[in-house]
Amino acid sequence: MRSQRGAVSAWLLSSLLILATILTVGAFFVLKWRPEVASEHGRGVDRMITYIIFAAGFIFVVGHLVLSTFLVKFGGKGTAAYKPMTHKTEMLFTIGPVVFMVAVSELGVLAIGGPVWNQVYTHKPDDLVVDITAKQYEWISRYPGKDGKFGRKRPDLFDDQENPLGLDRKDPDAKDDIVVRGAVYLPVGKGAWFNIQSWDVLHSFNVPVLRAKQDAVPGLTTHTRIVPTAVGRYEISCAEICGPGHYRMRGFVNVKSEADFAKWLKSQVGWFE
Amino acid sequence: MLMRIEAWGREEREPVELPESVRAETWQTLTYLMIAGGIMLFTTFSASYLVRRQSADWAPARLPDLVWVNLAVVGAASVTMELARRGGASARRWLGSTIALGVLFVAGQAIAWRQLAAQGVFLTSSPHASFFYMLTAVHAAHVAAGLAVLLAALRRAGNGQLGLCAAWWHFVGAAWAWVVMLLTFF
Amino acid sequence: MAIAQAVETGKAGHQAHGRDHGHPAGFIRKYIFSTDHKVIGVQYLLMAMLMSVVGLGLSLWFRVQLAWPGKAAMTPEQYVAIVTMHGTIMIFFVVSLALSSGLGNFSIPLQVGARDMAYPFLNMLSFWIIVPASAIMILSFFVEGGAAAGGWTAYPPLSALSGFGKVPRGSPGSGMGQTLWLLAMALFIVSFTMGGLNYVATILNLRARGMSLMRMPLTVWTYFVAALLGLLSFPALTAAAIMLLLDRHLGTSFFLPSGLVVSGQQAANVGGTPLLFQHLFWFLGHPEVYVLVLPAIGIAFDVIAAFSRRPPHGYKTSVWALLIIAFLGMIVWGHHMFTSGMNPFLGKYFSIATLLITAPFAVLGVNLLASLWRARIRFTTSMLFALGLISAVGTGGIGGLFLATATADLHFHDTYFVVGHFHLMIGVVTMTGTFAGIYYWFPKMFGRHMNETLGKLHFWGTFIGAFALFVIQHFQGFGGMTRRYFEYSADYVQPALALNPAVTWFAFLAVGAQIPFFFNFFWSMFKGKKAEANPWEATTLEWTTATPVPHGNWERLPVVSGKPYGYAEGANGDAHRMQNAEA
Ligand code: HEM
Ligand SMILES: [Cu+2]
Ligand SMILES: [Cu+2]
Repeated sequence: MRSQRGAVSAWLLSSLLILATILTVGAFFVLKWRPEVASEHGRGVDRMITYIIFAAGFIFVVGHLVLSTFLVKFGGKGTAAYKPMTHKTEMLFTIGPVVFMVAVSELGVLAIGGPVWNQVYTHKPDDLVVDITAKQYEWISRYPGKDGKFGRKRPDLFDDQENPLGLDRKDPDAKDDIVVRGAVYLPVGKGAWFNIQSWDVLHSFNVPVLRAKQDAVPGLTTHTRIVPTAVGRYEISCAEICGPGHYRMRGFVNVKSEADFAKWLKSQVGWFE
Repeated sequence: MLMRIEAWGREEREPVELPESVRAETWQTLTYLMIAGGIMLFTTFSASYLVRRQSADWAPARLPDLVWVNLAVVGAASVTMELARRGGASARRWLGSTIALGVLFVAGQAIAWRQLAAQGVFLTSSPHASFFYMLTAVHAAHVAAGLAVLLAALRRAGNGQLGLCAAWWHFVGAAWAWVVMLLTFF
Repeated sequence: MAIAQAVETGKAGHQAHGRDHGHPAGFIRKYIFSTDHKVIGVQYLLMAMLMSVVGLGLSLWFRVQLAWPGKAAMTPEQYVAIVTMHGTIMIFFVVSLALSSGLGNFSIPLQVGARDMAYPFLNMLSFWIIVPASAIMILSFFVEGGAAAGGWTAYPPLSALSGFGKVPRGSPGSGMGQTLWLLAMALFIVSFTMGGLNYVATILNLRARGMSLMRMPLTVWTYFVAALLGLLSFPALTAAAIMLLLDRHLGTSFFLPSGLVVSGQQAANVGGTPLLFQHLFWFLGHPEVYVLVLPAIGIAFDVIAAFSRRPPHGYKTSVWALLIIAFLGMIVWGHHMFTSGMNPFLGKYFSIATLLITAPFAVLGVNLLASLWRARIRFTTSMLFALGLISAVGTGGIGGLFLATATADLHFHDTYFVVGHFHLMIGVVTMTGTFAGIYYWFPKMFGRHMNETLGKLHFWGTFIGAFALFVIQHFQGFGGMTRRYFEYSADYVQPALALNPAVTWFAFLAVGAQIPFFFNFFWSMFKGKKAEANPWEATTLEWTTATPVPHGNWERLPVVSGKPYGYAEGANGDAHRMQNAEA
């Protein structure tokens, strides 16, 4: 059964695997493989990803090289003789990968990932607080207005056109709340702490350029923190299936200079003003 | 293809029988696995209960006192089951009593439902009530499975092969004790 | 008969069999309502092939929509339903049926030296429950509102907002389609649980004399671990499904919170917690992916041993790795929920715990690779698929590294990176394992070989197509391309979007490559080259019986005398020793 045909298969498969390895690695150089990044923790996320690319890339490349080599070496016409490994070498080949994997992966998550993760979930006192409400298929943001307080949202007052947040006219906190449909405004370089809620089903507040992603869960307020680092207009793309309109649940985060943001904020009128 | 697998199905009327000792082992494996699965099921429900009770709307209602009587019934059924398992001349009688107690238990649970309903507590009245109705129903299904097995065993009671029936039955009893404790004290 | 029984003492050695009294049974008893594990195994395979036509067809349909928007004659409502049904059908009705149920049924009794499963009637029942389950799943396309459309994960509130009674309607697919989906899944769980019970009882109690646990082929080990894992984790989904059904139809509030407003309609629910469902779902879901992938790896070990003419490297460490994977697999479910709103501390824990699993996986990977060291490889189609599996396990596994790191998952969650990752794992690894197994055992199943030329065509098309398709999807995920989208318009996604036509072409290649397989499968049954009893010179027990395998599997049950992999024996290292060879 070991014939010329076997050797052909060996060469074919091993060159294919090498080609696949080269193409995969090469793709990182050829493609614009990630969106630009415009937030403080986003750089940390990218640092984390880069670290894993090297760790994973090492395993990917070495694994495929070994596989290809073995195929050619032991798949051709040779008559290799199998010898059982000594117990010691065998243990080496077990403990080696275990130590390597645990060290590489846990080191990454503890040393690089952990601090960034904390950054995303720590509310700093002077953060700008923004309230995000999701509903099928729209993002609504809200700022507390001059009083710095958010009014209560009441399901019974909800009206898709007139009152999408269900704010209460009689609630003094709600009066000056600034409500923006389909967009969020942020000053550059300043921390923003988000309170995220949903009226109906799960959604996910996902802004890839800011490397931000946090589900909106009805009945729960979830949080995330973003410090934008560049002025620009970044898309929100819902990242949790929420119905047939999921794909068109878009919005924009407008990051402005501090002065522009202050100007914008001033030009806004409260919901009941 | 029919030709190819002709040989597989050559004989169907006389099934491939396992020797008694091996058969006993497979029943053992089956029973313990099912108990393990059952434990996982009630653990999952319990965990869900403990999570759900964190919500603001949590307001446990008092269960009808009858559930305690039912607990006693199911406990008694475990005792008679043990006596049946010991074997001997009276094993059949004890097994019969176990079945009767089991039926009594299910009937008692049904009455407990009626009592709750009479107080105006329904499945959707409160989360606590939802859990009560759901868990009693799920548990009753396990009791029913146990009763079916016991009925089948009634014929050959007395030759001391009720160990696995007893294991399932004790599991079912313990599960009810656990559910009552959960619903009352947590 | 009496003498034979007297000789065959020991554990399962008593198993009598009625072959001597053989009366040819009727067609129906033999091929339709058969209790023979081999027939049932093939029935499962055929069912999986049938369902794969539906599942793969759906995927090509939405791939056209993705590559050339508007060209597929599809609405957004249909799109989400089709994606949901594709996922459900492929995971539960193709991969599970073909690999876990199909090949498992065929191989387990033969490899442990048993006459049949421990409970043949239960086994038949398991299969016949799958038939209505599959029918209900497919028919759900044709009810009001169409099929379920909340993703294969069926997260509430979307999946709970049924529109029945006082419950508002979340989306068209949340109506009757979702109910039928749950019903079909319930039947599937019943069937799969019964199958798992049978597997464990067979493996624990029906092994041939001399077959200690550490003499079981790795295929059996993986089925064993997978079955236990399934039995312990499926109850969580059962509980979740019961609560979801109550929420949908009877107005309880397990998962539906206070203050819901759906399309302007206020719901009456109070206090439910949607996140609870996600915990329960993934408590099952994560072990379930191992239930699928482990047997594929086990089969690869067996196939690689047979075609590289040497025992697999590190039998013992592989078994330990399996057990550790199973244990860790039950405590890491939260890695699917990093961005779900779960407590961030828990997120950290799940991240750290999940990354530990990469260690036993690396051990399995190294053992697979090292099994080729000093081998004498025979490049059969079966072997090619097993080699492809090694590559896919590695590539998919390192994708897991990215996802399991919570900080990186902020970028990858619910993008095509996840799609690429799990398709490599529960798509490519499982299917290469399944195909390796089918080409390997086909001669034992039907007494004929599959055609090797068509087989190679099948392999190259499948492997090139699937590898390219799913690796490119990883890059789309790097680009932030969100999953389950009918159409894309954002600026940032444009570079990733440009890759979509390529992905679709590779999908056509991978799916098209199944055509020679289907043809080969049925053609070879009747016209394939006749096979001897042990055409691959393999050493495990299934190759010690005649081909075609008689009812009851052996005239005389084998008695095991050694390790499963008696390759590279003799002075020149080119002899082999059957597992039941005289000592
Ligand atoms: C090295 C081991 C692995 C690690 C560390 C790992 C990690 C992960 C993580 C963290 C996710 C969640 C990603 C997200 O939703 O953002 C994920 C998703 C997934 N993984 Fe893995 N994985 C590994 C191996 C596997 C294997 C062996 C399988 C299957 C046999 C598998 C199947 C899946 C599936 C089906 C999903 C996605 C489910 C969905 O969201 O629809 N993974 N994996
Ligand atoms: Cu969405
Ligand atoms: Cu997982």
